[in-house]
This record gives sequence, C-alpha cells and structure tokens, in this order.
Amino acid sequence: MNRLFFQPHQAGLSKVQAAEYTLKNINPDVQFEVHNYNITTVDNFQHFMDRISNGGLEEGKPIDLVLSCVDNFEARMAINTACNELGQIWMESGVSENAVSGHIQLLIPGETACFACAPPLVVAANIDEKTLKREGVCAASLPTTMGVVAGILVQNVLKYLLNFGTVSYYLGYNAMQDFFPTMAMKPNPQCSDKNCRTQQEIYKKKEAAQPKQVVIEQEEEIVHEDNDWGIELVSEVSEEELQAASGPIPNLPEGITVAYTIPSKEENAAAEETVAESEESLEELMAKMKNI
Amino acid sequence: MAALASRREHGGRGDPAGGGGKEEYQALIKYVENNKSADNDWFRLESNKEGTRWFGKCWYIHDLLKYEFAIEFDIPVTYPSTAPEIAIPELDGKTAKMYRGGKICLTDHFKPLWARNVPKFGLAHLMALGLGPWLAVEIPDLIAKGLIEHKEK
Repeated sequence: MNRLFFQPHQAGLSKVQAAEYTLKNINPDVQFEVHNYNITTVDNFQHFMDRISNGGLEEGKPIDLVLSCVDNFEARMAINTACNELGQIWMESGVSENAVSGHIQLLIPGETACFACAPPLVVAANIDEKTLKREGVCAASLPTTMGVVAGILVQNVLKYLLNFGTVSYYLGYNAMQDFFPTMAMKPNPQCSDKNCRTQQEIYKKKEAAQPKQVVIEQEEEIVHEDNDWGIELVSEVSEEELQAASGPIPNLPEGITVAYTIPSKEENAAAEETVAESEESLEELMAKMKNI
Repeated sequence: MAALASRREHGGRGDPAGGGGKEEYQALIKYVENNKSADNDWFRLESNKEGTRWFGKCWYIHDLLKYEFAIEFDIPVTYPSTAPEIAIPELDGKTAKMYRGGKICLTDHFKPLWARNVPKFGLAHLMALGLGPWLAVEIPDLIAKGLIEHKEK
C-alpha cells in the first residue's frame, strides 16, 4: 500500500490515513472509514467483525465485499476466520516476498476453498537459487508487481459487482515469465475452520434446493412474415473481389487476431491512373492553384 | 520436541489460548523446570490476567557473557492455527529481516512446522522451536557485527 499511495509529504501518517487522503483528493465523492490496528488481537478482531456486519453504505447493514490487501499470513487467517463466521464473500490478494509473483483469489464461504482449506498457494517463481546471498531469503519489493496485482484485483471486483466477463476464482501472476495461471479450488470437507465446514453444508443444501438449469442454444432463424417482392440479401462485393481484398492472416495463438489484413501485391497489377509528369515548377503550380 | 506437552485445550473467540492460558502455563512451567535441570534456563514468561498478552525475558550466553532481552507477544485470535509473533523491541531494526516493533522473522522454518502441527503446538513449542533457534543464529551474528553490546561494557 505504501508503494502505491504514500507520498513524501505524508511521512508520519499511518498507511491507511495516507491512503484516505490520497484517494479523497482523486475522488472527493467516495466515503471512507479508516481504522489503523492489528486485526489479529482479540479486541480489534471483534471491532473488525462488527464493521463488516454494520459498516455498509447504510450504517447497520453489512458491507458487500471485503478486499484483503495485507502482507502477512496471520492477518489473512484472521480475515478468513471473520468471513467464514459471517458468510462474507471476499477477495484476497498478495505479492510474494521476492516481489516477482502475485495473485488474487475470490473466496465464497462454503462454495470455494477458504483460506485455511489448503496450505498457502505459491506461484512458481523460477528463480535461480544460486543468485541468492542467503539460502531461501530474497526479500524484495517492486511497486510494479504490486500495481499489476492491484489492477487485476480491482478488475475482478468490477466484473463481480457489475456482472460482466468471467470473475476469476484464482488468478496468478508470474512476473519473470509473464505467466498468468488461473484455477478454482473446491472447499476441503475436513477444513480446520469449523465455520468453513458449516458454510459448506449450507451451500450444499442451497444447491440441492435449486432447480436444474439446462442451457439450450437455439439458432434464431430470421424469417419475415411476408416477402411479396422476393427481396434477397446479396453481397455487393463478389467472392473473387473479397479474396483479392484480404491479405494473409499470420499464424497466431488462440486469443489473438489481427485488426485488419493487407492484400498482397499482385504481379501484373493493372496500371493505376497517376498524374502525368509536368514541366511546371512548384511556384507556378502554387500560383495556378491561387488563381482558380 | 518430544519432551514438550501437546495442547489439548480448545480456546474460544475471546480466549484463544483456552482457560485463560492455564494449560499454557502448565506446559511452560514443565519446560522451564526441565531447562533448569539441564542447566539451560534461558527464559521466563508471564501473562496478563486474561492470558491474551504475554511478556518476559530471555537470555543467551555467548563467549561466557550472558545477554538479556525483553520479549512480548499477543495471542492472536486465530491461535493455535497461527503462532503468536514474538517481538524483541530492543533489537528492532538490527537484523536483516525484522518487522515493525521488533517482531522477529520466523517464516521459513518455523511457520510451516507450526502449521503441520496445529493444534498440538503451544507457547512452549513457540519458545523451544521458534525463539530458541532464532537467538542461536542471530545473537552471535549481531555481536560479531557490533550491533549489540553486553550491558557491562
């Protein structure tokens, strides 16, 4: 957070306070509620749970989504504990200690794996261990990696809240090779968090109660009620002309295509009309233009 | 490790250690008494009334000199799934990797060990397998670098 928000003149402020000031300057119409404390202590945790339950846009209503942007395992476990108990959907994000990988996750208590269902996931870093001065230790910080992860997190939030595109359950980022693995993980029936197991039961019952939705794809046949004049839709351009106008499409992997193609130059291209060579000088032509 | 008692008490939201820390005290007392018998008495710990905040001191002997450090930690709400984070405030910022307030870094070796033994591990294990090894590695290094001096000097 301090790599993305903090500015030198804010030295002395807590990270969340600096974040509020910076963001308020960008958009004064957003409401903020700032708390700076360790959520893993018993007292603060209670307050934290209370704000999830009552801190919605309308005070007293629960919030819509929790985004975890903390930097340690213990805090993530605390958030997980709270969300499992409250049935709160949340997204978790993180950047690795060596700053060259990151990830985001969507956690729906009972439906997806919770944070405690499996040991922490690691996006393979493919770093040559020989370059490390101390065995296994490569503490680094890159605001670029953090910027990328923050971007994909918020993108996922927009898709989730506004219902477009595919919301990723898990999206990783390997900065060394530019690899973005995705996946989804089911909950662990033997999860150590009792509330996770309870939520799993609730989810199973909910799924069983829903009617089976079969998706039938029907191709719509365009038929007009009457067509007295026998009107047909024919392309103005002939097949041959279409072929000649398109150029070769390069061999591309799935998901990438060209915006347009350029036709290949033919050997015996018909001579196109051009202006004849002229004896008149540039000044003469300019004067001619002026006198039209 | 075999000599340390496994936890059996289950804590609640407001009392993660369980029983206000009663079982923890029992395990710690046994461990400290064993240490004394083995002539390796290296720490003392006590807690607040609720058993949620612990503090004390630890000692490390290097080159026949005894170094003493004050230690403290909170019991996190997710205990014993997560281990408490021990802080040595007077050493804040002195080692290659330290967290704000002097919390020592135990990630690589200790945290996976703790995770694999949840919920059997308790404060005695935290001291024996977390703080103990950390002191053994870091204190000689800090002394060699001149970052800590014995109080008598």
